[in-house]
Amino acid sequence: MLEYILQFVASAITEGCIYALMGLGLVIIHRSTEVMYFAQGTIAMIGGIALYALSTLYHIPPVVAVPVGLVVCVIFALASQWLVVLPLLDRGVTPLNVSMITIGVGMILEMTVMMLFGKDPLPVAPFSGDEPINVLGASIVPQEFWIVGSTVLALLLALLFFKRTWIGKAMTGLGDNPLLARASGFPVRRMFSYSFVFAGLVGGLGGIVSTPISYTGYWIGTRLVIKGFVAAAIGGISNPLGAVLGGLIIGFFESFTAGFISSRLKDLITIILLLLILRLRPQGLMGERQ
Amino acid sequence: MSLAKSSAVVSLVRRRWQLFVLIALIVCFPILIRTYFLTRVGIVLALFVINITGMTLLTRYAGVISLGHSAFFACGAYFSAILTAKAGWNPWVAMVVGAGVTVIFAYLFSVPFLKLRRAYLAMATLGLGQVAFLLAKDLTEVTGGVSGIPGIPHFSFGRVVLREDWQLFYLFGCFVILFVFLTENIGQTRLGRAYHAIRTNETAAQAMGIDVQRELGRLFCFSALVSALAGSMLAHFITFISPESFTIDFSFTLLIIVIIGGANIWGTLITAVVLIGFSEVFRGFQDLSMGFYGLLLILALFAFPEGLSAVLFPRGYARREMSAKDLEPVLIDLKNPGNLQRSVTDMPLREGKILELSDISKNFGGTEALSKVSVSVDYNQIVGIIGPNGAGKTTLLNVINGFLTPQEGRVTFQNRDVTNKTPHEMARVGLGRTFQLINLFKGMTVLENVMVGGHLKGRSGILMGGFNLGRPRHEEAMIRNTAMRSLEFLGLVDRAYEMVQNLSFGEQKLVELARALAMEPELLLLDEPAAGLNSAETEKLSEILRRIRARGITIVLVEHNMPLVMSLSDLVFVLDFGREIAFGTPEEVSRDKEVIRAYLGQEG
Repeated sequence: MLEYILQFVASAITEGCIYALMGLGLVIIHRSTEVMYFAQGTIAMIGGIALYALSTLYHIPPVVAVPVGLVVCVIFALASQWLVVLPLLDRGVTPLNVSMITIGVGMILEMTVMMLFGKDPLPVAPFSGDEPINVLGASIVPQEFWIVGSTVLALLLALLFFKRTWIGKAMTGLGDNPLLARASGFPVRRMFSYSFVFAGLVGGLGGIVSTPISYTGYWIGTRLVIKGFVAAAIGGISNPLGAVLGGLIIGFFESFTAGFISSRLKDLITIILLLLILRLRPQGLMGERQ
Repeated sequence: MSLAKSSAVVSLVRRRWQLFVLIALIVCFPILIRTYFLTRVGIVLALFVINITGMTLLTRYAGVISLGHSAFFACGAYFSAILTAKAGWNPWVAMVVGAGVTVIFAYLFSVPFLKLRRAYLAMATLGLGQVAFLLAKDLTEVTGGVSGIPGIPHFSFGRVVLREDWQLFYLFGCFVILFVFLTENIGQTRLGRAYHAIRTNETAAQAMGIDVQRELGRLFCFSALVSALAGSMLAHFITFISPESFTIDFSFTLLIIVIIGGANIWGTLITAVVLIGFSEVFRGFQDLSMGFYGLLLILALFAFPEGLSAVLFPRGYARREMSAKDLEPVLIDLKNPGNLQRSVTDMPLREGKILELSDISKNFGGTEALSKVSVSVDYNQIVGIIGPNGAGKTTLLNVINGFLTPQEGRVTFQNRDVTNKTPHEMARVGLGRTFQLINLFKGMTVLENVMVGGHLKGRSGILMGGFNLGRPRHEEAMIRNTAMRSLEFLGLVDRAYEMVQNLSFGEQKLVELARALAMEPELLLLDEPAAGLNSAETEKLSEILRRIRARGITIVLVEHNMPLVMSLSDLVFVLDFGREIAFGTPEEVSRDKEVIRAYLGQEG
């Protein structure tokens, strides 16, 4: 029994980390622009596809392929900001409508990827073999360590950025009051750019490290971004740490529902959890009441 | 006589030409288009159009983003499918029952979730859509899982089974015409203005007597009903349903259509025809359709940020030309002539207190904004409230108005305890209000803004208003007349058809006053009506306020302009740090030592 539980915990943490990365990017963009960035799942998908192209097609080792993949993701995130999000906000389109438009951005990118890479699931080899490691009776594939490790690293870097740099501090302080930010002469555009770079990095990372255990393909973005939203909503859309907490909570709920009840119910349970949280604590577990 | 009749027809056609074009297109389509494939495209399109009628009102008028309408579409379809294919019911009965159950679900969802702020609500609807999809996919015993439900019967009239595509096209075409007609009527009348008001300025909408939760809840249920009926039609059209018709992509598509289309049913209808038509015609590339939508969405929003309708049908709704009839006293309700029609001579002489506040205390997180404030206002008085910045003047108005509930004390209005009433309930009992910062409804004309003030003169709901016969027409004429009279009273009639945001600051303040007057209030709360006005405008305002009082309306105003307050008010109430420091005639107050100290202390 114990090893079963450990197995569930391991898979909960792995999945939870991916959701956390998705949620983290969404929270940061929402804080700085009030936009719900629906293309975040597509950015993650592009990360996975870039890794597939580099490592499966051209046999480039992960040491090179992963950073290149991250750069690709950042480029796409920034491009969507410069070409679509900012110009529309400048034209007075409301953030909520811009959010819907980022769905369109995601759709275009998905279509492009589908035309270039086809519709089949695309495999990527794990970074360091697929020999499971036995931890107290639970068998864990090495890729899961990569996932957890890179999430922790990304989180630490994010925390350093928010706590130590002035623009990071300002982003968390002024994020929910763009008007005040603009009035106080704060470089709002630079803050926007930073938040999209950040979202590109964490989204890409989520897509890249998870691809070896789950395949990739043009369609994976929607599922990822929905999970990211649920994570952000549960934890609190205004709090980066909340998104991480939310991601882990979903990971645990899914893993244990699948393990003890039925894998058919795991998505349903997550959504019901989301609705419950929205009902009882709309600002999320770690969000501030407004 | 026949001339009058034919001119009535001409004006009907002119006003409703889009609807006649639509009917003509629907009638001609199966006659002209004889290919199997294009007729089917027409049917799919009809189902989409039915869906977007409700969504246009919900998203573009009321500003509620729903990512979950696939849930209602699915609910209607599955109930119809299960009740007919498995239980052997008649398709029509199944359709009605399915729609009814869907409305109940929509209501149960709306009660807790419509309270959420818009972005959170969007997330909750996303969850709703996912729940429906997962249930359809995983509740295999009931829904057949991914393999779906086959063998759903067609609709039939007696022994005539509607099996042919052209028959279904005409059937669905009738529903399209019906729902487009309803949506257009709702959008153009009282409820449409209320939705617009809720979207652009919820606070002011509440103060005008609009019960935001109730109106949004009903609209949400209506749009769910429409989607459920369309879902049921889908089931009886393709005779087989499976979860893949009800993915989040469906909700996204609806949303994209209404966002591109804008706040007008014809704009969204044209968008739906272009988008769905193209993607169905180029079916071979169907995988590309979502990308195509995405591209169109972005391009469209760059070309017309307000939506296609803003370009095709500028000025939104109520584009009627001004007519001499507008100022005629139509349909005066003799029992209640309304206080703008009331003249000084037939003014009811009323004695005693209209408003009484006793021992009101209000604190925000430990900071005392009001402490033990007591004021009473007699009928037909003008009472000025003055005090330094931050003295709690606006807080006091918000307590009277119901935006805030005091921790202690009682508010009595016309001998009724109204301490815990909400703003829209206060509007109903006769309280009008203007705001410190201009709180108008952007994107509407001046007249429409003022007509929102007359919201409570009407009672007809979505269905009544949709058919727009009898009572709603009577109400609309009454509201329009009251609004025109308020504008006339303030000398704004020639600006009635301007977009409100194009007016000068001073005029916008007057529009706010006109909007409050259209509520035909007993008591008017004015929050700094003279702020930002030049001296000529202030002079005019002072004269207007006297005339309002002469109509028997009591006024409480918060104001910083001392000469105005002192010359206008019967009594002046002075607040400082949330406490009363003086209450008396202007002369008494201006001699009061405390008052002088508070003002000099602040300035010196």
